Amino acid sequence: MEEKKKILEVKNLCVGFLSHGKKMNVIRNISLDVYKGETFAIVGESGSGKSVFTKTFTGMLDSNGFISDGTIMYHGQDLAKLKTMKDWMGIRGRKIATIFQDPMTSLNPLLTIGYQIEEVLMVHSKPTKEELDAYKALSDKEKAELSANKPSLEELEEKYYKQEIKYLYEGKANFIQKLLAKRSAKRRAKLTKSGKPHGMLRREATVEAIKLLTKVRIPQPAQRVKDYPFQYSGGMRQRVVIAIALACRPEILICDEPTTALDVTVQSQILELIKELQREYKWTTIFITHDLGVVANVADRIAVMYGGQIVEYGTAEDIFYEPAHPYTWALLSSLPQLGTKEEPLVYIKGNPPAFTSEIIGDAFAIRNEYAMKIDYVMDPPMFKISDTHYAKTWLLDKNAPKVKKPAIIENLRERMKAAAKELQREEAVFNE
Amino acid sequence: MNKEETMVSEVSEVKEDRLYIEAEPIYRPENASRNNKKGSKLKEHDGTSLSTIKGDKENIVTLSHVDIGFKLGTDLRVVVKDFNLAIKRGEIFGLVGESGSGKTTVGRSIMRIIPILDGEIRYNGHLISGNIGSKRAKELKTKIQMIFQDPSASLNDRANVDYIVSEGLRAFHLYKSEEERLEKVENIMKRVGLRPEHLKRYPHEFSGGQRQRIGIARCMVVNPEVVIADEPISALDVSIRAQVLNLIKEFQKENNMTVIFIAHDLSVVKYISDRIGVIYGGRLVELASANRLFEMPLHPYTRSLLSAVPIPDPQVERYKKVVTYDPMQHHYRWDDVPDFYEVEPGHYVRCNHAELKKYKEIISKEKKGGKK
Repeated sequence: MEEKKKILEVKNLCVGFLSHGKKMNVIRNISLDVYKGETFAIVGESGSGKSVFTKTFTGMLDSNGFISDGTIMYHGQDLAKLKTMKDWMGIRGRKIATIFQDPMTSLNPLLTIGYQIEEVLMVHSKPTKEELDAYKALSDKEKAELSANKPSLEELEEKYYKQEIKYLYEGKANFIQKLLAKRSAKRRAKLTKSGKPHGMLRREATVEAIKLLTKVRIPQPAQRVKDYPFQYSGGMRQRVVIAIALACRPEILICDEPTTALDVTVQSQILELIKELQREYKWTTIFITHDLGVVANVADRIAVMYGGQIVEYGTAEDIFYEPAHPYTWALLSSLPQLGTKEEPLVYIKGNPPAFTSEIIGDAFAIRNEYAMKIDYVMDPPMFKISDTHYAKTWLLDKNAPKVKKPAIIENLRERMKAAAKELQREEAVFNE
Repeated sequence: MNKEETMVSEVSEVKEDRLYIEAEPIYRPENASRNNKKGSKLKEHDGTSLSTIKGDKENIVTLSHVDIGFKLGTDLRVVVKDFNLAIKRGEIFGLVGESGSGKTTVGRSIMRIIPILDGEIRYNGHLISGNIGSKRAKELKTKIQMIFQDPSASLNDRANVDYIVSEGLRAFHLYKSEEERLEKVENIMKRVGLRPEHLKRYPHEFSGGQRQRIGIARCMVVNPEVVIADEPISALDVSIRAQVLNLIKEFQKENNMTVIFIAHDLSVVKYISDRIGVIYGGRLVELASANRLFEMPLHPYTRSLLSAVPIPDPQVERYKKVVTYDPMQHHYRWDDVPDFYEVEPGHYVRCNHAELKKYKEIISKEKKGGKK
């Protein structure tokens, strides 16, 4: 196996919330590594703390939440120690971006789609203070050298002009539009030629926004940039949100239930798009969802979360073919895809734990039919199953009785393979 | 002239009533007269109650040639065109399609929430669409009930559960004394897995799954014969989905109800329903029993829907090809227009003659293969 580079290293992370003068421990001691270029999925019910956990990576916890312990190492920097907005600006969006569940709430209904993408591009392309200072410190001679390296003013002008006509007006501009394009091309050429560090101009950003919309496959992007979010369908809105996240070329993309509000067909399209763009931009994806079916499609590695802890993690094959934790069993067997008509569907009884009181022992014990006495007293440690696969349940202890997995997820692999073959065969019949 | 005048007054009435619907459904005057041949007068009905079965004994709800449209500004958009469907007594019928395909619109038109432009909807053989009078409409609502998608939006935040659940009982005078009402409400709460103590609480005190249970209790307390479940599980977690599905199925079995289950996810519908109708662009494209539809999906849109269902197996999923459907792929010609044909007993597909021939060949091939 090739050596993988760790991009994010979480150690003993604890997150608390203050509410009514009480402290609630919502994330309880999570340690986790995320490797570069992989897709890492976090699965759990609502209320298991999966969203809170990933919000700590971008410093977007609610105002009453705080990191009480632990470190999040990212390129040698501890994200858990960052406090002010200024500290976060370099990371949030630029390095770690998030796609949220409901595209209607994450887009501003009063602004056009184009404006919202341009805004991101313009803010994040602004030169930093150091860059500006460095430019000011240069002598006149050095400045002249900077501009001498660039192509001539006319060439730049021509290039920008062609670009604007092509993207903004789709190749057919009338007299006034041509004039406008020429004027802005002139301005841009001058700025570029001078070599002075500068942010994107509005028109440049618009061109870039159109390019991004083409990337996420929105038809007629030159016209659609002028539209408002309500003129887009749900799937298209989610595409726009992806485009905004793309704008800064982040290293890590956190997808917080990006397909929950969408249709199955649209869902498969969005997942395909995320996967394709990941291949192109080579980012790392952290994928949050409650649907194990979706996870099978995208994830390289999966962590199952329950009650603010990671109860099992491993590669996708580990989790689906050899699940070890009873909670993973329950999640898998409650999938309606596996249900048969004769029997009622399996479901997890009870509710996920409320964090109002201290959780003693295994958080899942109350709802677990395989629970033993020790589960109510002591929190199980992480047991190692293989190099990649770990689970946090006393069932893996030496002294534990041997239990069988529920019948519904036994032979999952063979059954699913047969189902897939069936689908393929049918397609072959129709394509004849 | 007289007729036209009455039509105009009717349209304006509808407008006032339906202000809350974002795009306003309207009557087309010429068809309103077809629904209701005596102008603005009520369609006469024979005075029998809706529960007496008239004519067709097998089907409980029938839609024939139903058109439903919305008025957007000045233009009329017909969303559902020439929709024909017969729902059998005591079955769970799954209606599947993507968002915007008109599946919710059809469900709502049966409930008379959205008026239809053309055609007829019948319940037990009685006409229930068009102008049937307020008494009939009220009677109908004790027979047909609805479960809504978003449990947090469909429950009144300011009313306690007791009020929410017994609202139907109050509206239709289904109890004689206060004790009887309480007993009915408490019984239904126990049936859906909530405790009678919960009656004094408010919707925000419940979790998503519990809220959907309240929605189901509110619907079932009236003891309806037909339940229209409009995406009742789309907004819920996977583990809670299973609970709600089981509950709906239990109720259906015990009360021998008919359920119209509207969803966009074929995997869910397969588990719960007896027959499935696939709807695309306001038209039924395929109709078959649940098992048969999964064994032998014929219409390309059904196949694309099936391929989009995620399979819980990472290795299969990674190499899976999702089939996309484009309505232009049919190449329909003017002399061979598509219609809804029966390919095999109980299995209908929307296709033209050329496609019908192809589908029949595929089925006969499959049957031969099975015999070997």
